[in-house]
Amino acid sequence: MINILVQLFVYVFLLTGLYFLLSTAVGMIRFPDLYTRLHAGSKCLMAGGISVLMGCIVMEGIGFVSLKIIVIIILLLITNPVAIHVIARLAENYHFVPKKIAKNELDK
Amino acid sequence: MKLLTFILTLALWFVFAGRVNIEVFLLGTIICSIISLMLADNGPKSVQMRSATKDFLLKTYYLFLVTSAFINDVFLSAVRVSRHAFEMKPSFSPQIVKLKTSLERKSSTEILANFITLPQGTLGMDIDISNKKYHIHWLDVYSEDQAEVKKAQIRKHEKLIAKLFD
Repeated sequence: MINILVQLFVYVFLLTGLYFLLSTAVGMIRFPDLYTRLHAGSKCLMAGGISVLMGCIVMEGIGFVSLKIIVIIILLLITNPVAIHVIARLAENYHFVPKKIAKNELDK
Repeated sequence: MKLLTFILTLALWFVFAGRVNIEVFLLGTIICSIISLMLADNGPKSVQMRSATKDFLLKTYYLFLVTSAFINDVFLSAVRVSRHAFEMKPSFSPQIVKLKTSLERKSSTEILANFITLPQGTLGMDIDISNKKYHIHWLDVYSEDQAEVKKAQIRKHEKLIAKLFD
């Protein structure tokens, strides 16, 4: 019974992660400008990564592998927003993005 | 501080090694000693630890609140963005705004920047250090009321971070 429950949790986590990672890829293609693509690259990628890794933790149980995965999640939580912030900052300072797409309060 | 760095790096060493025995311990002790000697003088300058033992429990509680709010908001925000990704015609109204922060320390402003970037459908673009203003890009705010709600959410996280790190 517990095994079935664990398997169920693993499938739920992995399918959720799959959905979010797929939406990241679709968002990267379909969204109109760099900033909106970065939204997909930050939030969906993070949620997908956390879901997949949580599924791996549930599948592995308590052990060193799970601890390693927790370390990976923490590193992901720190590095992803930093990388996105650096890209956004570079784009803003060098005006990579056409301004007509976003209403820009900074110009007022 | 050196001892704390040593213990943390040694724990991380054991986790990465995947087993606990005397060889791993000896090699880990040597490497972690070197790392803690190198890092302890430079690393913790940005992480101020005031009255660490006094209100340790309270800070742990706030840390739990911050982490749970963070992960919860990441998932809510991801659902919103992924819905836009699968729409026939993506219907968002992107906008770039400025938001002033009252946080004092450098480390807390950086943590709030991470909080702005991941949850809430917002993206931290830049920080104006002299005026303490964030430049934020948000995705689906259609009216002034929604903008105020969004700013209130950021203020809520700002208060939690101020209690923890400021």
